[in-house]
This record gives sequence, structure tokens and C-alpha cells, in this order.
Amino acid sequence: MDFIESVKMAVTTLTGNKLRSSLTMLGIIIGNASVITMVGVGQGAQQYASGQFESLGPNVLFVLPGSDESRQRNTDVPRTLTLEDAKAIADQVPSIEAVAPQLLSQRLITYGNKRSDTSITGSTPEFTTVRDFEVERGRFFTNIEVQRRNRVVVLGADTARKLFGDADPIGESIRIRNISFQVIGVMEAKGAFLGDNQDDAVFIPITTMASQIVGRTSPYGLSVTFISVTAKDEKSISAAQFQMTNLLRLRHKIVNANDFTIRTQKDALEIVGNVTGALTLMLAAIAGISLFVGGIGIMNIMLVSVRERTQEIGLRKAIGATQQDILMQFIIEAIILSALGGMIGTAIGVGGISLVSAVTPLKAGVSTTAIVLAVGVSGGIGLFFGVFPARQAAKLDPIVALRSA
Amino acid sequence: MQTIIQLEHIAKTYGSGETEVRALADVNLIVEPGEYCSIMGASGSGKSTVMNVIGCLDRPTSGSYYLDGIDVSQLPDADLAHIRNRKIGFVFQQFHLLPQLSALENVMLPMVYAGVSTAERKERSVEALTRVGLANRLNNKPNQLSGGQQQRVAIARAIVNRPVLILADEPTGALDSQNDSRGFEYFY
Repeated sequence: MDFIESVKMAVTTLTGNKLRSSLTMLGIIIGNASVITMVGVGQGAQQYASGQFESLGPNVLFVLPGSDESRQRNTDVPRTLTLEDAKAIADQVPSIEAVAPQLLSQRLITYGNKRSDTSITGSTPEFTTVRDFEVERGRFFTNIEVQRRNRVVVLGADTARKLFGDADPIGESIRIRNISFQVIGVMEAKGAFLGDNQDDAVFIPITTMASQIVGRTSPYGLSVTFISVTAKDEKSISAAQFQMTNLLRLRHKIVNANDFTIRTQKDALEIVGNVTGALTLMLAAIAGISLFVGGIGIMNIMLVSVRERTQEIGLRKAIGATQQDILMQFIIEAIILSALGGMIGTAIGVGGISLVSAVTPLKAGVSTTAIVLAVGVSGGIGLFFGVFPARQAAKLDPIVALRSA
Repeated sequence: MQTIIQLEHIAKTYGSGETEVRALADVNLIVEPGEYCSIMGASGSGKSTVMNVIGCLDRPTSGSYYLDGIDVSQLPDADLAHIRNRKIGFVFQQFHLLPQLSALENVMLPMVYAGVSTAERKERSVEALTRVGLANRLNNKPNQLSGGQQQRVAIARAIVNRPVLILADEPTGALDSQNDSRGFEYFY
């Protein structure tokens, strides 16, 4: 019997018992679809998290007040970093591009009868460069305005919409802590950072912030929440970290432990990488389990259907089929079921991924490895358990197989 | 002239030790071409076992068996399949039609394994089914046919490959008395 005959025969048999065929395929479909979706979502989560840190700005470093230990122990962090530190970094550290000290607070801001509880960032004009923010309308504040402690404000995209709707806010006045500020610009939408809306924010000169909003000073000068620094390029990140550490130790006259911490984007990425790595591992484990369960399902239905067909095998042998003919037919049947189930399962998995991408911020990607692995494993199981028992049955004397039922 | 069946000292035992069952002991049988032969006996006397040995569905424990001049008692599995395909036509007691195939497809099946071309397969199957009076039931599935019709499909399947030997296990069991005599006519 030639190959085409075997294929025809397999197709006839499969279409002749649609329920059995579709049940067999169902196991393969579910196994494939779940694995592909799960791995896709896991990778999406990983990409999302690292994308978030990349949105902080290119080659960015953060100088934070307090040592690593004290930051972990205390909620009230010592105010060891000052505006002067930031200026010194800008003037004396060669490997850096720009420095933006930041002083943060959360306040109620009002415009007419509209109000918004919004995060307020006091900074310098370099902020837009360092943190990769763009001004959409109007302008950001200037160094002169920082020196003069002018009461000017740049609104985040969401805050602008909340207070002004579609109207143009530029030139209007808003009140922060009952002090009037003139709106000079609106930022471009930036999106959320780890669930924190970066567009519901306003930006004012750091000097104005210190003197009029938080009224906070330290023995060393104007203290800041943290300092964002951009290194010249990716290669100078560690140089910048080293130089800044030396400079700050010198300035703070430190002999023992540092009273500040420098975090690079890479550090942050590593921490997040650990978390998302664990997440992906978990998802992979779940996917592995579903593949395993799916495999057992495929195995069961295959075993049962071959057992059920022992009589058919006996009859085919009785009228002249050889062991090879029987084997070939079952192999082709198993291949058709596995391939078809694999394709449908992959299609559903890819569909599921598209759905997740559409309704959540996770940009889940289709993983070729996952598809190959899922289709390979389920197909392999389908093939083995579809063919191995059939082979056993084909070896029987026809009369034994015929009488098996 | 060549004998069709020549059984010499055939024995068949099932199991071993205390549970050993001797189904056949020293069976000798010669059947000439064109001969019509019935094996009769009480239930459990080994009729079916003889049939199965003759039909190469089962191997004898000892003795030799020449089918159409070929010693089949020592043939490997693949060659036996070939013998069953070309030399023997079976009509099983329970017919053993494949339920998912139509009457025509069931009759075509032996020729599929014989490597007959599709066109000839169809032509010969239609011819065989016409001979047993089922020309108008070609595309019915077995469950859409009566017991007698199913048996006639089984007969058509047995004769379609033009075997030298046709074996029928209790062939009249499922037929009403009117069809009894006709059942045998189909074999000629």
C-alpha cells in the first residue's frame, strides 16, 4: 500500500469518527494554547517592567540620601543631600551629561473650583533632559526663574486636563497651598511608571518648592529628595557612579559608611529582573504543568481510541493489511491530529496573546520557542501514544485482535 | 491438480501447564479446487479454531499447512498478510464491517491493501455488490443496513479479490431461510 493510499485511509477514518478525532485534538489544542498564551504573557510582563525602567531616561543614575541600610530601616530618611551637592556634581564630575535635583511633595492644587491632589516636583531645567520628558505646549522653566524663585508651574498632561479640560491653561493661574502660580507649559503624556501616573504631576522651580511649598532646609543647605543624573553614555555609567561617590564622600567629609546611595538604572533593572524572572519561572512552571496535563489527556484519549480499535486492526490484518500498513495508518492519523491540533492551539494561543495585549498594558509577545516546544511536546506525546499501542495491536495474530472486544 | 488446502497433523493448544487446552489434535484435511466443504460439529469442538488456522488468522502449535501449494505454517507475518489478502476471502460470523466506512468502501478495502488502482477497485466493488444484490446500497454505512444486507456486504468483500479459497463462519446464521440458499450461490 503506498503513502497516498495511507493518507486517504487515515483521513477517511478520522472524518468517519468526528467525535473521537475532535476529542483527541481538544487535548492537544488546550495544551498548546495555554502554554503559548502563558509564556507570551510572562514575557510581556518582563518586557513591560524593563520598558518602565527604560522610560526613566537613558543612562540615568539616582543619588539618594541615606545609606542603603538606613534607607531600608527608616521611613524618615536623613536629609543629607542638598542642592549644592547637585551643583557640585554638575560642575566637577566629568562623566556626566546633566544633573537634575528633585524635591517631591504631594499637595492639593486648585484652579477656580476644580481641585486635584497632585504630586509636585521641584527641579531644575535639566529635569526634562535627564528624565526624558518633553514639553508639549508652552515651555519649561529656566535657570533664571529657578534663581529668582519665580512662581511658575508646568502641568503634567493629566493634571492639565483635570483642571482645564480642553481649554488652554497657559497664562492662567493655579493655586498650590494657596499660593498663586502662573502656568507656563504643559508636558507631553509620559504614561505610568510601575502603576504610578507620571502625568498627574506639576513641575516648579526647586527653589520655589523649597522656600514656599515644603519649607524644608537642612544644616547643610537646601535638601533634596533625590538627584537624577545622566551619564555621558552607557559606558560612563560606572565611572560616573565612582566619581560621584568620591565627590560626595569628600563633600560630606565621610570616613566610614556613605550617607547616600547611588542607584543605576541597571541596579533597578536587576531588582525588577529578579521579580519578573521569578514571575516568568512561575508562569513557565504553570505552562509546563498544563503541557503535562494536556499530554496525559492526549495519552489517555489515544490509548482508549487505539484500544477501541483493536478489532478494526484485527479485521484489517485479516483482509490483508501488514503490520507496516497498520502502523503507517496510525502514524499518519496521529500526525494529522497533532498537526491540526497544534495549529488550532497555536492560533488560539496567539489570539489569547492578542487579547491580553489589547486589554492590558502587557505587550505580550508571541514566543517562537514556546510554540515549537508546545507543538513539539504535545505532538510527540500524541504520536507516541497514538502509534505505540497500535504497534502492539498490529503485532497480535489477527484472530486475537478480532476477538479482543 | 494442486490441492487448495492440505493440513497435516495440525495441533493447536492454548495456555500451558495445568490450564492447557488442546483445541486441535492431529487434524488432517485435504480440499481440492472447486470443492465445497463444510466443517460441522458440536459447540466447542474446534470448528472455529480449524477455520482460523486455515484462514491464516491463527498459527498452529505444530503440524504443517500447505495453502495452494505454499507452506504457510512457517511464513513471516508480512507474507501471511499477503496470503490472506490474495488467496483467502473471509465471511466472519459477526461480519466485522468497519462502521465508519460505506458498503462500497468496505468492499474496496482488501483491494487497497492489494495495491489495485482506484478506478479498478471501484469498478470491481460495484460489480461484487451488484452480484449480491446491493447495487442500490453502495453508500450506506453498515448501521444503515439490515443483518442480511450486512452479511452480503461481507460476502462481496470476501469475493472481490478473487481468492482461491473462501471461508465462511456460520454463514447461514444471520440469514432468513429464503436467503439461505442464495447465500451460497454468491460464492460461485
